[in-house]
Amino acid sequence: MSRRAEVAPGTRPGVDELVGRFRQFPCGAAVKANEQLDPALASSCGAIFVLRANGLELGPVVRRIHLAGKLAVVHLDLVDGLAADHSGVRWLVRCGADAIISSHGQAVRAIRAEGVVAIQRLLCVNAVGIELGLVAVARSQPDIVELLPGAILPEVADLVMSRLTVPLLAGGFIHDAAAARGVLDAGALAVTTSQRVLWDGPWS
Amino acid sequence: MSPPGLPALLVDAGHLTVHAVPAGAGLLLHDLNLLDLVRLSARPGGPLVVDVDSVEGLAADEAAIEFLAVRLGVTVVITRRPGLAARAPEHGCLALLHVHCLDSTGLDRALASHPGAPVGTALSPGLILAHLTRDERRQLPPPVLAYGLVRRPEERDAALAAGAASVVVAHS
Repeated sequence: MSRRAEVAPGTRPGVDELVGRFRQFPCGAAVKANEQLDPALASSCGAIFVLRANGLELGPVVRRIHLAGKLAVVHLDLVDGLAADHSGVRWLVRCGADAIISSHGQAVRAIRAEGVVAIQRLLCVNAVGIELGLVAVARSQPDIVELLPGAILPEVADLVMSRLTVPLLAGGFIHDAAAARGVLDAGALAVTTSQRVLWDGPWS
Repeated sequence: MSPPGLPALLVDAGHLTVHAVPAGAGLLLHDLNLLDLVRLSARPGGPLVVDVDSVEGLAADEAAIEFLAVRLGVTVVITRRPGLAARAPEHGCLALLHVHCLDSTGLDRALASHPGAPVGTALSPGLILAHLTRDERRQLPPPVLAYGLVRRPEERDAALAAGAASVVVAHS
């Protein structure tokens, strides 16, 4: 199990710290494979989003992220080996995750209860899905919402932005700087992407 | 070009209040119950497309596909089940595998189980098609239906320009 002493001695980095990292550079590096971790650690991104990994062996990964001075955001639903329930959340907290993502309201409430930053995914498949997702967000009260696919935020901002009271991230099919700027202009705090071309600025 | 039975424009009958389907357009029936499906399918107009997985009371199986095709005259069925999509053409339907396109990982996973021709692709949200790279679009077995969140004329045109054979537009 890792400690986050390198990031903020004695305290858990909270919402303000994560938001602050995105204000410095509005991009989170989404890591889906081991070989992406080193470039992500060397990038300008202040937060690393671990999307694909063995959740049961995550301690060393989180430790490397913290040694690089970055925050570790882990996707509860996507990492292998963990159930998206309270015990799975507790495991990730003990691994040192600074923030945890889930699409499930119940898991989001568990994440908040464990005192780490809770990020809820808003899956924009159709209008009904957006409406149901916004209702779920209102019920579970995450610290941050991540909209997918993020590339469409400029077109759906009128459906979403006025209903949110927390910062919004956008991830999915944001391929280049122009698209990323469009997403920020539409109201996102930051983009999350596996596109390495966006991991270093300046482009915003 | 859109194939027979799949017009370039599909009107979304999501709220069961479709008053007029433009000439040449079809009707998409989804998120309704079986009785409403039968009622709406009897209305005169263009081709009928049904999102099988979203119909309350209807199993997502071959008996349902046969009923839709033979009894209701449905020309296109949409399903997230690759096996069912692969068998639907035996009942005289065009089948589209429903692919949720939220990020590249999810898209890759969904396409890995795509049966391929003659099964096409219903991509949700339809808005995303215009944002995909050429390589990503090339992976989508045709015909491609842009399905979901297309509300404005310029979004419809962008989806067609990006290779959609058909676009679902919100009901008016």
